[in-house]
Amino acid sequence: MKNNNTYSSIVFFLLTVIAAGLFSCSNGSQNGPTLSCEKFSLNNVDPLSNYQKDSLDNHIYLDYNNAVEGFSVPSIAQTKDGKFELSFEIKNTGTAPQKFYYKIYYQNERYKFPEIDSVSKNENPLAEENFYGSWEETGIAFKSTTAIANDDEYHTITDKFRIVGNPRNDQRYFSNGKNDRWKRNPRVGEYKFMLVVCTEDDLKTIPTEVQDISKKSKDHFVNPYYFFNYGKGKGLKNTIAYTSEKSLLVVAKPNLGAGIYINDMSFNGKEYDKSYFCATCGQDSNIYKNAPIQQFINYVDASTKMENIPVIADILKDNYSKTDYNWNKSFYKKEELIPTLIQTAKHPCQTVFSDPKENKIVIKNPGTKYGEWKKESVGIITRHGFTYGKYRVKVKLTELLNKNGVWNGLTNAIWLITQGGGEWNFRRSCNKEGYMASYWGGKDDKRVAAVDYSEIDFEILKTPPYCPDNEFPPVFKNPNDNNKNINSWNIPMPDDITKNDDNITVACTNWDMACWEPKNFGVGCNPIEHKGQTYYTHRWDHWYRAITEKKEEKDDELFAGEYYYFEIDWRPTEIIWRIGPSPDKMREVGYMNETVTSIPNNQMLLIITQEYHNTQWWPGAPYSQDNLPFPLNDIPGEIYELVIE
Amino acid sequence: MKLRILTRYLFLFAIPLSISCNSNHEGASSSAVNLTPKKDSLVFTNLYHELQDMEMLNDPRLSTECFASGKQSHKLSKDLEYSIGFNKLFQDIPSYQGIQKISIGLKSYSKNKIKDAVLVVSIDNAKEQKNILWEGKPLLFEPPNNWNNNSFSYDIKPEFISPGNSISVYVWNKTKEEFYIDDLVIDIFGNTKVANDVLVSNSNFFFDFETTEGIVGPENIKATTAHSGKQAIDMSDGKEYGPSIVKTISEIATEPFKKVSASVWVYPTQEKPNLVLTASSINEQSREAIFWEGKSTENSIFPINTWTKLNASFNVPSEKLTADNKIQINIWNKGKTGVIVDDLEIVYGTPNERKGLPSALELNTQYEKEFTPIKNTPPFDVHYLNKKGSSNALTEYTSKDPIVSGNFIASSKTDELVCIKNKTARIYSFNAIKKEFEKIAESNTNESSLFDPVNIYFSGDYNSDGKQDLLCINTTNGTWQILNYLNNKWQIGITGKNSLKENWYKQHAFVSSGKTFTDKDALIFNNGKAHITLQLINGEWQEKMINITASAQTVFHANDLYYTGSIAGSKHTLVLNKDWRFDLKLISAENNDPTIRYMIDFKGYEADHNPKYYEFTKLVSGNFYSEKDLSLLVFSFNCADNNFDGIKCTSIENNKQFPNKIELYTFEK
Repeated sequence: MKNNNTYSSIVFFLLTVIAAGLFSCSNGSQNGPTLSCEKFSLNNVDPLSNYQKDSLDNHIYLDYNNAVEGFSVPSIAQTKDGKFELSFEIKNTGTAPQKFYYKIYYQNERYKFPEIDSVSKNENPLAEENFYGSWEETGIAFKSTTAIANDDEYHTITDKFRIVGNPRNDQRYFSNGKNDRWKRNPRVGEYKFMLVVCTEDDLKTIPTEVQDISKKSKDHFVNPYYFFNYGKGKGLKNTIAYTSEKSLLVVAKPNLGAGIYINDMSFNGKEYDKSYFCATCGQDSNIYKNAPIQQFINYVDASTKMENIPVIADILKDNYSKTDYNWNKSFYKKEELIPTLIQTAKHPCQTVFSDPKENKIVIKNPGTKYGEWKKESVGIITRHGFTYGKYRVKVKLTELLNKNGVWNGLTNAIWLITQGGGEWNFRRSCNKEGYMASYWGGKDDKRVAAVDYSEIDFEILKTPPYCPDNEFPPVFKNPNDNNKNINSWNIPMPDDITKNDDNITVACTNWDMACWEPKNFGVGCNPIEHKGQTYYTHRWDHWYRAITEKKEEKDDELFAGEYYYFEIDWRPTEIIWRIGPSPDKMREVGYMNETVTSIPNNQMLLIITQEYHNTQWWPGAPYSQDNLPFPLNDIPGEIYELVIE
Repeated sequence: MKLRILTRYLFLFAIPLSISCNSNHEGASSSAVNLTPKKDSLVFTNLYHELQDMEMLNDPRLSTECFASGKQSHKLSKDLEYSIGFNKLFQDIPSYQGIQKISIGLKSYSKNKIKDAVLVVSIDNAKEQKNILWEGKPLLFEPPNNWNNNSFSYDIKPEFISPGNSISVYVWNKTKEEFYIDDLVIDIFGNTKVANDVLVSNSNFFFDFETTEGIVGPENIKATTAHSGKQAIDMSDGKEYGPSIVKTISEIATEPFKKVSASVWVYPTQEKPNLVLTASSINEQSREAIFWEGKSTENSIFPINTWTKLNASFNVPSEKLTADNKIQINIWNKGKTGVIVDDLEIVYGTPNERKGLPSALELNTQYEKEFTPIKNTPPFDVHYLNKKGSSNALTEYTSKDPIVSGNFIASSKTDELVCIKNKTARIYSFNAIKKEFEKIAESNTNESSLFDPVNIYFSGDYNSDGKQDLLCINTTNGTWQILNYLNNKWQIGITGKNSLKENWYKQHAFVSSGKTFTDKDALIFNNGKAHITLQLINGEWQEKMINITASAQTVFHANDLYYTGSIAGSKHTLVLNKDWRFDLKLISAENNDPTIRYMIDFKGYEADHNPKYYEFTKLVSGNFYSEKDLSLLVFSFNCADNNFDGIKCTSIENNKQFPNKIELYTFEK
């Protein structure tokens, strides 16, 4: 009998949904279908009744004003009171007036793990990592309506909510009793909204950890989308869990003209020159609160000391040739060389500029002079971290090669780096021997279950591909320093290099900290297919913390034009690197997934740099950094747009 | 016009004060230039220097509470037992094989008495995680509240030195007390080889298999599908072993090297080739392998009937080899499938280490303080000569030809060129409007005996009559004459009664003329220890030797060529040495103290045809372009001689990549 009742309820429910769906389709003013169960019906569910007027425009841009402590979606500037308004209509179809209980959930759908494990049909353990939330006061579980008469009428219920960071109020992100919501910012991308309405009897059967998303079961959070859509909640007779057709696309597009913040921590808290501070770069309260960008100071590894040739030249403009390179390589004595480390900015705001008129950022590697001899890296970093996202930048970074194909020694890098922080920002545990503990150590470094280090890179420079294996390393002839025979020191580079003279290499790297968990974890060159393209991943050895793919591209195409786009599409199970002349003409240049590398799941920041690398990091590089001149003139790069979606 | 000479130059016998001619040495012997490889010389020197001033960023162990220099120091405390330190593999220290000693300096500070803080020097075998040396010495903290200097020195025994061993220096805060350290200075001393090549003339080899020269086991080389030419190695029909290239290390280098690189083109005629390029060496006595490495085509894509390149790099265990061992490169058709192989390239070793001693420049000098150049010590600033024109009128002359400059024609304010070829002397002057040299006079046939090819020529006012003389020396017998250009003719002013000594006119660097104590122009050369001058006194050439002071020995070297004149209103001397590279420097000599002001380079030339890159460059200095400023006429030529010594070239070569040229450069921008 019970079974029959259940069966008839389901049939009734389905028919109602189908009928309502048809009705819904025929009536544009209707928000979704009419949904019914034994005790009530729902109609006109609209989670964003105060926001979306036009169903085609479902974007909302993250408001960076005053967002240092974390984003709110919407912000106070985007809706009247900084909240979305939820509205729905409910009709009591029972036999007596009664209260109903409801709760709104939201979940980021673009960057999530499926809630159900396709094999076991149980909850996907990784679904607890999904970004879902509800009312930010998690203690408010389900809200009650007033008693609604069984009058065959729909009664409108309205409520409010907003999307905030750390929506589960997870203690992991608390510090000194304060909920640092910025440590788990709302993800960008599409959100869907699930309204759950139930009767009092059903409410009693909904587990506490579903009602209060801050609670855990067996030390794990329970994703309510699993519970209501696939789990026990799906079978509740008088519970309707409806995911609205309306969705919201959250996009981050910081205003690059809103200033550059200088963080004392970048200078280790010690005193430094502030004479270059100005209205758009520095530390005043307006910049502190609203600037989306901070000057980035590269870490300088003291072991990368070089003995650089004592030449100062503008490689890009001075017609610097391979012969110049070869002569300098052969005919300077050790005592003439300049011992040097790659330098970082000593005068913040001197080499980075935020332009509020054109809403762009300009960075400059400074030129140098005799007695100063510096190769100074320059860059900027975002101040607001995210987990996952499609990061697309429109930039005009410096050309790397001159017309003779000689490299200027710079690496244009667009990269994501961990926001740091230690435990709160740990990556998911590596379940096979753990991660290498530090990103700089050697193979004897200890292994740990979790680390906070993560990095995903575009590094664009002059270096040959490592794959296929048979082409690496190029065979460079040895020069002989006999100035009586020009051919003895002016040795041509191998054909492997010169055939690609006008190409630079786009290196796409994921720092997986040598976690051996991916089922196809590999060393050396290994192919991986995606969308008809074969990429070769390369890892030096089992302890090497990063895996790289390389693709050669024309320097002129990427950096000689007005601008070019670079995109890192960081997803829960894969990373895709794309480049292109416009957002609608992006092409893949790199692809990796969880079968070959551990995809990070912690919060990261975006960095854009023009940086000098020690070429010992890039075996086979045809030009050695220590044999390239110091820059004579400033080398500018411009950043026009950053979109994270 | 004549160069105006400042008396303050008089000390500098060797500094020419009039225009010089420097390449008329076809008849000269090359005995003055020692081109044979010298045996390596060992110098005890500072091999490595590192200052850790604790000013680096992003390290939470650093503190701004107190410091000995800069703005921060390294704080050790109850939470920090070991300090930031120094750690390096021996292989990363230049000339590590010669290390003998490490000196350590460190400043320490504490408010209280510290019992057990020691500075540790440790040498470890990193691979085996085995300690080889451990020394700990207590740090000074007396008096308290003061930065105390610690200095320690340890000898490093040869048995400790292995490329894979590491040396560490750090402070061990045994009892976890609170104190500060700053300015850790590491100096590693030892012997290093100076100046001479490890590698001999050529370490690059290419075999296109068109001949079998130098190839062991050439049986499979035949006319077939080839990557280049007509022949290749045909390893079809199950042939397993291809030819080998066998070289004794001493054929290539003076000592064993650490790497061999090789590439070969592979053309499979059957699927799934497994061809291995190998490098190996065996003990000739025991016939046991010392090392063997191979790289196979097996794991890469080598499509059938397509040429695909296989690159390889082999590590050579140089410590197990001697210069008498042989290195064998072999082609092994392990898969025994049909495959053709061609164009084998082999590079033995890595590029030579640069010449010279480690830079004395302190790493952080230029970042933390204002750089103060040390007199006559590199690095030097660079000054550029700018190209003002090419000289089409002179194209018949090369670096070989005698060309001198001077103010031979009284009516002219600028200098002329005298160019001698085929027993004819032509005089050219620079037309500032056309920016080109123009011929203004030519010797006639009855003057041809004055301009015989056996002669060499110099210009200067040797007899102090106020006129520019052309000194002509016969290099077969040392006879000489002084010529003057008068009334549109070359006339003999003085004929030498006695011949010059052979060691004078055979001296290839005997190039310059300059004022001496008696204010006469003289011939000068530098023998490495002294400036030797030859001055015409009473019709005889008298020799004087002026020793080069110790401080000036970094400025002047044997075989230097000198060019002197006024640059931007000041008198300067250009010194050119071409022994190892084209090395042109600008010298000033205020207060009789020769000082290198700049390295001189060129700007404005076509493509990358910098004159300093040419094999056979000749400079002729003069006031051609303006009467105030020195300019240089630069003859940039290459030489086709196989054993060109930089001095005597039989056959000039016009290299397409570096076409021969004559250009005028000045210091004017």
